[in-house]
Amino acid sequence: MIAPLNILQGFKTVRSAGRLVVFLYLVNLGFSMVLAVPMHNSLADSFGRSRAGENMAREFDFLWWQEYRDRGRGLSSTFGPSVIGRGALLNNLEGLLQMKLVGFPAEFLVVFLIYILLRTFLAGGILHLFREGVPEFNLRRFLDGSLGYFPSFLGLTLLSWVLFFSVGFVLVPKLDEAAQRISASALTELPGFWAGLAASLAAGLVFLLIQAVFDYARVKIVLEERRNIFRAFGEGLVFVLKHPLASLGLYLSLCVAGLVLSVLYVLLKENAAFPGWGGVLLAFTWQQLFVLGLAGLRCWTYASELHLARYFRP
Amino acid sequence: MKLLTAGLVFAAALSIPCLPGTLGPQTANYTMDVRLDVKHRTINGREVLMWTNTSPDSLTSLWFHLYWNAFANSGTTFMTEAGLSGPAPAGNFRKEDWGWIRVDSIKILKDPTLEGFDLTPALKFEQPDDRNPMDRTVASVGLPRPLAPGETLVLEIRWEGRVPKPVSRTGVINDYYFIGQWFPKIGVYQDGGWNCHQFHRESEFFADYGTYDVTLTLPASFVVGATGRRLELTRNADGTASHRYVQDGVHDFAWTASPRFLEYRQRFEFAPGRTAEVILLLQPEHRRLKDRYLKAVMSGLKLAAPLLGDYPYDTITCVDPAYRSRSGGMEYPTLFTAGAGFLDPEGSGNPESVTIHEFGHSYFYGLLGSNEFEHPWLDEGFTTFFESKVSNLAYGPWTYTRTYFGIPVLFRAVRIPLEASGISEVRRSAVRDVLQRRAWEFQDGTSYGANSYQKGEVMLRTLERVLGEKAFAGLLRDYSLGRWFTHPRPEDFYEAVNRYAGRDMSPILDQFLHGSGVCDYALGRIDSRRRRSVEGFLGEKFSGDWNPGRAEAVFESEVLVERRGEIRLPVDVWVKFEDGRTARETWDGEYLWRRFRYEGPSQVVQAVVDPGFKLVADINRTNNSLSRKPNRLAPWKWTVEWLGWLQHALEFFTIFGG
Repeated sequence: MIAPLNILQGFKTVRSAGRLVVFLYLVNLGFSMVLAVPMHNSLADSFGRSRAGENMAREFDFLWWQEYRDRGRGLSSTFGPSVIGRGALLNNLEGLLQMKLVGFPAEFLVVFLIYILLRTFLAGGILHLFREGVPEFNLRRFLDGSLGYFPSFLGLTLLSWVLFFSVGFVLVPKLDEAAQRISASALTELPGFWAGLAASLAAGLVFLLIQAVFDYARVKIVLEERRNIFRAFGEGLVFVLKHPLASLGLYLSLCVAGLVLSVLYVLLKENAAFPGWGGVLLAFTWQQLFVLGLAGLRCWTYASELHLARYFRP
Repeated sequence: MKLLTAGLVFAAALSIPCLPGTLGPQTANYTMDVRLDVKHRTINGREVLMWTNTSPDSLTSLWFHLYWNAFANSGTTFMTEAGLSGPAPAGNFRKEDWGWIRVDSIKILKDPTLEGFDLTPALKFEQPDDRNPMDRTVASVGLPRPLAPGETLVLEIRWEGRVPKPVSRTGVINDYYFIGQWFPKIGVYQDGGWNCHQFHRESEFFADYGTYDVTLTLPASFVVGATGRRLELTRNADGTASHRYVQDGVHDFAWTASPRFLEYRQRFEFAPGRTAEVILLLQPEHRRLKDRYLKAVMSGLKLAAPLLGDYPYDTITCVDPAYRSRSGGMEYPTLFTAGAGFLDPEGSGNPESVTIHEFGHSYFYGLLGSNEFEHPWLDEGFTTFFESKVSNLAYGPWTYTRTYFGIPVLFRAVRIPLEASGISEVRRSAVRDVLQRRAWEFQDGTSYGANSYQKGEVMLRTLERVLGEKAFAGLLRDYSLGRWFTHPRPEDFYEAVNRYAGRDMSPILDQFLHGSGVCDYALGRIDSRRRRSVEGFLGEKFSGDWNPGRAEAVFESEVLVERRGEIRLPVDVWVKFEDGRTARETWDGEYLWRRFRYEGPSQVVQAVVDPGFKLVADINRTNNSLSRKPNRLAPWKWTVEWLGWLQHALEFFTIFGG
């Protein structure tokens, strides 16, 4: 019952941190706009004054998209039928688990890198506010926390990349090879399919485990005022190993909450679509609520992890 | 000359007991008795070949294909070409994985003076295409006397073949055998020489028609599928079974065997008393796809009949290939392989498309028998056209599908129109070669595919719409039915097109077949402005006759249409005015541009070049229309959709920090 209790505590904390969540959401939206503007221009240029524009205003014009894809470079290569609805989420899951992310266009990767560094910076502020018990957004205190913990958090982020990329470029190919070995001697595609799925699931769990350990490492830095990132990482790891049920239970429960949120979003997005400008506005609204929800979930995770770490504090 | 006559008499005496109403010529008749040794993965065969010299020449040698020798070493022409275009197909072959075929003896059979004459010492390998000494896929034997025109020779050939690990749609994996291009097969004597090419990576086949009477002996537990009808099944005391298949009017024989096949049969009725039996050999894990496979074959039979003529054989066998067998998507007479994934959802087009495609080969590869070495588009282009047309008629447009972690996901909002078939490949890759080219002489496999399959298909669909659906249907049916068993060449297609078009279409067809240019018509500009009365000095004295000019209630409009590609075709132009009036123009499409001018009470709001979408070959459809105002909703709508992906990506990937 430790994990649910702290999840509840975390929820109470984050409930009163609405402005913080909105702030994180706005950061996401702002960064997205940096890329959305050139994408809009690219689409507008391609449609021009052609009938393809009229067609695409109604439904997806596959013929137009084939032309756009065949000539597409950079950012425009990320546009396709699979950005619709569930495809958007599946593309990103695939991007993570199969490390296709590194093949994304340079414009995206630059913006993404800056965004990750900024979120690393902001994470210090979030945890600082939660630790102080003043979840209500206060820019001064928030920046104090962000600036104060940024060197350590940046170090942790870089350390986490070593692990993430080791998993992505060493472990995942090994798992894939194992799955292929199973499929190579199989009579049917079924063993290979299940082995591949299991490999992806295993890779996903390892990714989540790494994030959980680094989350607790960040919490330790904030709670214990640690400066040594390796020690913080070690403490995060020990914490997870010492209290696996509570720490991972809490973390995975919130991951499941994210999954439920994603499924709800997909259902709404795919089944509550309307034509015209109203439809565009509605789609935009669903998306923003979803991203707001994800930002809230991230804060909720941090708040719950902080409560849990305090719970086990000697 | 006397000997030759005697030869004919003996040939007649030996002729295979043909079924009443034999289909096609009897140029190359084979009677084979073969035994599969599953332990050693070998096939031992005795083949009696009865071959008639249908040429006007006296022949001093016979040439044969020994296709399986393409898999005998890494230096063969097939392996060398395959290695150039991708990972070597035999990269991980062990000693027992290589395949080969060895002719042990060739003897003349039942000849009055030469009976039993052993031709084996005269057997030598030939490399007509590239002089590659490591390639032994073609062999010739010299004859002890010339074979006169019209004379028939009967040979007995004994041979052994080693079944390779799956490569190029033949071989064995686990307990699944797919056996194609597997026996010593005589070439085609044509135009004063042997048309008997080596086995190439990007090439299929060419052979004469005849009757095949083949007895296959293999373990009794195996379910067998083969070209033709099974006439006999004998259980042998040694645990084997002998399956005898006979088929006339075909130019090849292939078979498959596996103890795991599920066998289903269904009858298709063309007319009362005239049926064909559909046999489906299915992998057990694909049981749920049974009805979809059968429906696809039935759709092919049903829709091909009015287009190309009733399928004339008694059976059609659809093989669902085993996993990793590399035998999917291949055609043989009355038997083909399709292919599917066990999760393929309805609407994705799998396995329906490939099933219809391979069935379509029954006509263009099977009944027409074009030379796939030299004119691959005559088979693949027509068949790809058939596939998309029949699929569309039977199922409507397919739904866009993407696979994530091995699970296919349908995007129901995105339908793939008929016109999308092949055009992307034409745009990207077809310009690297010309369509009419020998199969192995294309720059690479991608260009071979883009030209032989997709450009051929797109050309035919364009032609269908330019000539009109009815005329084209007549043309296609005539080209098919009128040329069954005749090995048509491109000039036969030209002749059929010209006849149905009522004029010489060669200049148009040449652009597709012998040119690498593209088709791209575009709307260059639409413009409307109020007409002004004439301004300036209107009289001859240039003093008091100055007129300031004024705007009139009439618009002068201009529509500029451009030809941006090399291919020239007549094209329609459609113009819409603000008051709802429309105008339709025709342009011969020859020069680089054409301007249309209008005067009227309202301005042009939209113009479209090729409004009826006749020119399916047009590689840039987006530039075919122009409106006065852009649609503002579309870029916003799709930017917002894309933004949803992007925002989620940024938030999701914060797993990497923060």
